Amino acid sequence: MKNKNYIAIPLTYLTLMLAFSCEEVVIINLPETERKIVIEGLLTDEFKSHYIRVSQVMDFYESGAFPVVTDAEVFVTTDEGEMFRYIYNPTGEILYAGYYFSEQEYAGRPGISYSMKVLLGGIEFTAIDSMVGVTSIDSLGTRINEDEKANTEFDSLYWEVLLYASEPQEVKNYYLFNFYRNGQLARDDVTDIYAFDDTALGGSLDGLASPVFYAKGDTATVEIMSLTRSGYIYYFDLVNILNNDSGFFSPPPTNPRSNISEGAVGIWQVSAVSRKKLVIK
Amino acid sequence: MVLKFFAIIALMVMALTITGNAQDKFTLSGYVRDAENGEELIGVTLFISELNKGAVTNVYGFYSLTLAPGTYTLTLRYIGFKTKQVKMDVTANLSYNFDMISELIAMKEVVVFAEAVDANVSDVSMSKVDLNIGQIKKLPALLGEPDLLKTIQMLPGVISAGEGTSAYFVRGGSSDQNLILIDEAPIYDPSHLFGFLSIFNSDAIKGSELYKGGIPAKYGGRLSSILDVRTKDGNNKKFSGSFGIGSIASRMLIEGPLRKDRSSFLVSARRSYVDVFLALANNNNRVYFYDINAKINWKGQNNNRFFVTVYSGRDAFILDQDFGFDWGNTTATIRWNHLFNEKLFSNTSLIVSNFDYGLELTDPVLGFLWTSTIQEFSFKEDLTYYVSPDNELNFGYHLSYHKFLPGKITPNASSSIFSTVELEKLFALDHAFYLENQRKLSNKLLIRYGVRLSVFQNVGASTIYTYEDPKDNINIRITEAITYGTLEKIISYVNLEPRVSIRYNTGKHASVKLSYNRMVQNVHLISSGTVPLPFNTWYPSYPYLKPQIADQIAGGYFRNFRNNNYEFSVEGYYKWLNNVTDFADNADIFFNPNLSTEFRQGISRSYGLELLLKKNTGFLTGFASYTYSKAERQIEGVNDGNVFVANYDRRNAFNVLGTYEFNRKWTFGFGFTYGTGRPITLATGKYGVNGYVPDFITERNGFRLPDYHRMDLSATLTSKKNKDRKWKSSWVFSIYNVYNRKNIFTIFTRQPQDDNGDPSGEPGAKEFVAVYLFPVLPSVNYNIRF
Repeated sequence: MKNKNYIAIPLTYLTLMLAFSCEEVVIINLPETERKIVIEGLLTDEFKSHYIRVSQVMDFYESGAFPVVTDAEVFVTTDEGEMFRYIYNPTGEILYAGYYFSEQEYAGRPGISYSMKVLLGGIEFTAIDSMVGVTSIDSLGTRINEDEKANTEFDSLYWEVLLYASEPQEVKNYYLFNFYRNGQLARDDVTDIYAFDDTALGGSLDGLASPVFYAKGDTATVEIMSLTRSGYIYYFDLVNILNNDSGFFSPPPTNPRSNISEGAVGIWQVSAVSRKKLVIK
Repeated sequence: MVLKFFAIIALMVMALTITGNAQDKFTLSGYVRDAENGEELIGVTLFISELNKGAVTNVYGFYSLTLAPGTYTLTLRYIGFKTKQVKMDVTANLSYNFDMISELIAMKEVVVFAEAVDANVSDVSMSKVDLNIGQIKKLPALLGEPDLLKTIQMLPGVISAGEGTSAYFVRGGSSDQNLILIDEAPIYDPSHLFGFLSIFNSDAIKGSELYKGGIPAKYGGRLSSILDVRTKDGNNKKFSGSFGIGSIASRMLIEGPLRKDRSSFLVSARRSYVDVFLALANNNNRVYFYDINAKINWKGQNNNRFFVTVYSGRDAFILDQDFGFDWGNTTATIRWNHLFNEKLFSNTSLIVSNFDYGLELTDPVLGFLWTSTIQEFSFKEDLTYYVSPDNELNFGYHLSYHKFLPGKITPNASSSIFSTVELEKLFALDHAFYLENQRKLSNKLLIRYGVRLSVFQNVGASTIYTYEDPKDNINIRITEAITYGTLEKIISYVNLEPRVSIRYNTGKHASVKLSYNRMVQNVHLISSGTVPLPFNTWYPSYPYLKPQIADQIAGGYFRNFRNNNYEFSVEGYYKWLNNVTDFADNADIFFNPNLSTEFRQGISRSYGLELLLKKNTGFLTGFASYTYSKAERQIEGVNDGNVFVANYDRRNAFNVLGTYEFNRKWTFGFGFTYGTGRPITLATGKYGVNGYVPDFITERNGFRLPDYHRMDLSATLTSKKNKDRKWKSSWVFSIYNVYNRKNIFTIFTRQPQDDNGDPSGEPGAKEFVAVYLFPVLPSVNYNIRF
């Protein structure tokens, strides 16, 4: 998992090659971009108010916050006929600009398909995703990473969390792992995404080390989310565009494949979550 | 189609028997060799002044001339060698070997030229370049290592992706459309050290030919070009050798007779020593490459000659002792040249080629080993029938068995989270029959026409999946899995490849040439980047990949000046390609069990104009080339199905390479290259999603890098050879990128960073970062010959 994903191979190769090179920030003369609609929605099996965020693409060099859409009609329906209406930023907090929250609290259930609809200027952006169950985390452990300890000068972030879980071999599974440090999402690198399919995984994950490091006293949270194939594809593509060399060794960058209609970018993700917490001692 | 092919053969054979009926003639045949070391010379012209006719030695140095009885004056000409004139009485069939003496005994390095004096004008081949390895050694080179592929990248019609890679692109074709042969064995990845260097050790190379168009029927299997590299046979007169110390690698070569004049051997090896410095610097990383060329030959008699040649090379990178990867090619060729009679020359080869790579992570939990292999076993029978000096027939049969092992992951620790997984293996049988006739219709008109029949069979043991929609790579639904037994036919692809070349002399030193060729490619590189990685695997044509087909027409004007000292040519071409293999946007090409759903085949077309001016002899030698070219692709499912310029579409390219012999001690080399920047896909926008700020892309290859240009210089100091000294040394000093041009290698985007490399700037801010590879780089090489 340290090596992110095997699609990072071209990048590893390039990084090594770049040991012979130098870098420089350059300014590129760009045309104005298309202001495509960006939708990000997440529904989990937790009973709460879920969100769908609607925003827009902006120019590469444009500064300030991403333009958000505040006047969309947003709702979610199930294949069993239930409907959940989402309303725009009910608390009005600036942090939630662009966010629509479900009016009522609800929890997604495994085996059910959920359709998202965003009505905007006469266009109906839709997406369907279904909930797949997720393996539970059996336990967590900790260990000092000696290499990291030797390399760390300014902080004491050298503890890694070890994960123990089983991987059901009879079904094809896709996972997204998230690691939190004291409640904050943590990544080894800002472009890291810990999404995997189980093609090469064996039946048990025994002491899988976290890619992020913790200090003594930190609360570490490990979260596994189930993904459907379309969700996995989206994250796979996102890794690709976040870590590409403009198509030299890696494939030419393209926008991630989205499960949302009408050419919107982003994802409608329905996931079951399994989570465990631990205080580093 | 097959029937038609055999009808053509029958017609040609009939034509042959008619012309072959004249029994009152005798044949003069044999080999032409370098007097100094016994190496056969390829492409020597043997001219009979009485008849105004002649012959050229083939790639094995063999010639055959069928003549009416009489006395003839034979003139043997070869660049770099003293012209030889011999009077021959032809009163019976005669086997005769000629030895030619090098003009430049003092400059022993410059002996191997692989070209007839006026081949540029007189040969029927066009779009073909012979490379002079002696000269390559005196040219400036990156890290001081003379490199065949880097020189090829400077030729007209050949484009590189910039610098620092061994990939090259010929006439609008991608880099996997080039067949690279070392002593007839295919090389799947010619790169060492990320492609900074190629696998060709210049010490061991005898000569090489690059065919860009008008490709003879004996070659096939790739769409755009054939690079045929031949290694030296080894000196069969005396023991000799050389030793070289370079900035990055050391080389040694030993050659000598096993039995004087009859049998010889050659062993040449090269190894880098970057890792030695790293070890001294107490660094845990290890990086090295090596390659070995070895050859043994026995040529006791003219009618049976045997060669065994082996190449093996490998690159390895080991990082922090726990992560490593390596790749390498190994090939072996056994060759038997046989004369059935003075007119019928046969070459039989058995060839093995293996390419493999591995990636390994040593870790109790995450440990795995990933391996992938491609193997090819070939049998080749090539025959030449020398009917008369005006009529030559080439025909043969090639059979290859291909094994593709795309990938296997195995856990390398008992506690590893990985299990053993292997991707479906693929196998293929590849047959090719060819027949080609070269006919001199008049003193002015020379024509070569032929056909190659390619029968490619994808065979078992494999399981082939049927998909509900084979183009749907998101919701993959397998409807059926069909298992085939060993060598059981899965699918066959039969293709006929016509080839025609015409030369018409418009004057004593000028000609016009035209050619058409169809090429078929049945192996497909699994790479969607511009430059392939050694970790890209290959696939055969199978139910989800049709053979790629290219048609090319080319025409040109060829003119030599000042007694063939200057060669000039202008060529234009138009090439259209069908079923070019590409991949869906966002394709998952690494370890994907359903790779079948990622293939997208489409069309491509390219055209261009190439100018070449070459100076062959004198103190100053070298060439200047200019290429205008355009290459486009249109693939369903890529770039929304819209036409896009190919990754390697560099419109204008201008190159100059030359050496100047100042005196017996000093030779200077120079190189200059200029090219339009390559196309690149860049972001026009950005957006926020899931806590990330991805680039927003609007068009494939919608931007271009700035123009590329660079100048290199070198100086070679050769010690004087005096009689009491058994060895001779030389120093090669070279400077790469003399005026320190910052050529952009590639561009990527990132969040702005402060001086410590930590993210800075406001959230959501992004910037473009250009990567430059080589600044001004001096290097020194020291060589000894004994």
